[in-house]
Amino acid sequence: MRTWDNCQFPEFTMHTSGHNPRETTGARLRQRICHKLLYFVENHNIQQCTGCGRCITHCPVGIDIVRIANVMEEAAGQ
Amino acid sequence: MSKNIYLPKLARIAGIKDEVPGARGIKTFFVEFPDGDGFEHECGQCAMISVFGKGESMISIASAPAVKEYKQFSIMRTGRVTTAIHDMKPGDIVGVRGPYGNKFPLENWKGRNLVFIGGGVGLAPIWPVIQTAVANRADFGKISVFYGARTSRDIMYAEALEALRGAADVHLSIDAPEEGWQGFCGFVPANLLDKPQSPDNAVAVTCGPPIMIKFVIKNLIGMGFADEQIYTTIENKMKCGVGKCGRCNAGKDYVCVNGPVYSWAQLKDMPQEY
Repeated sequence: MRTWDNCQFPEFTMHTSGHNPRETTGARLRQRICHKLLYFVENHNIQQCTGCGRCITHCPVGIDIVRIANVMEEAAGQ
Repeated sequence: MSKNIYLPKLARIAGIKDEVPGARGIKTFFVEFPDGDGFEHECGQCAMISVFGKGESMISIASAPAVKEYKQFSIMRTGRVTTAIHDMKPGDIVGVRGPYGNKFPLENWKGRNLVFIGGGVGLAPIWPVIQTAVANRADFGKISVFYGARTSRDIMYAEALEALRGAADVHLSIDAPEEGWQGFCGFVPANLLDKPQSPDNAVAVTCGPPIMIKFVIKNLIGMGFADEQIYTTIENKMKCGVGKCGRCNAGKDYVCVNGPVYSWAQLKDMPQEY
């Protein structure tokens, strides 16, 4: 049985009690970006983003992972 | 073909004990493995319980590792899977895979005083530690157990907690006053403040609702406990149990693999995703 699921949905991490560790869209976006660019690299030494830009083209709210990566890089350098 | 890591073992419910009545009741399930393929576990580890056609839930193993005949799971009725488990009867078959996660480093705590602080169904994850400590009573200093529930009817392991008296100081609490209640009235962190614990040569272990854990840790720090002396177990939503699915992680840390047991020294530097 397959169901539609996604780490950007609030139910993805919601406890049965209703408590949600990643309650806001901001927290979930942070997870998506950090998972690709930070956590997976730290845990497995593999980059999860090839920089193809497909998610930028199709994002309904204009989230630009390349721009975020550049901002992160800049912040890390400071 | 390699072994399927998601394939559960078949286990039979040997016995069921009603702990707490009501819509969000708690029952304890004693589960045995008729095929003889049971597993060893450590204090603090979890197992994934499945009900066929309903789904899977990660549940703490509440029996001590020394108990080999069965595994004990104390489950609150909250969602689809836990409701289905609550409707089951002795003799019914569930799926179990595990054990998952790390453990409480009990072997490092020999000779030290132990302070346990539990709330609600959060007593179950620390119960194997309490049982193991009491079974090896001479290995430890003073043992204190704080436990709180909403009302006197919501107290789980009621008889077992009473049986701890003698081996341990037991401090029970309920949220609001009730006629005939001898223990403390108020939330668990307040009960802890009411009976201050010395941090000297001590380790504190807490589990309960996230908001309770937060204030218990605050109060322990106020009593002089160092970050390394405070342990908790965080039970995020888990689906895979093997560090793949990305639900339970707090930052780069996958609770199902690196946790669920963390010292506050580790936890305070992690993103607050629990």
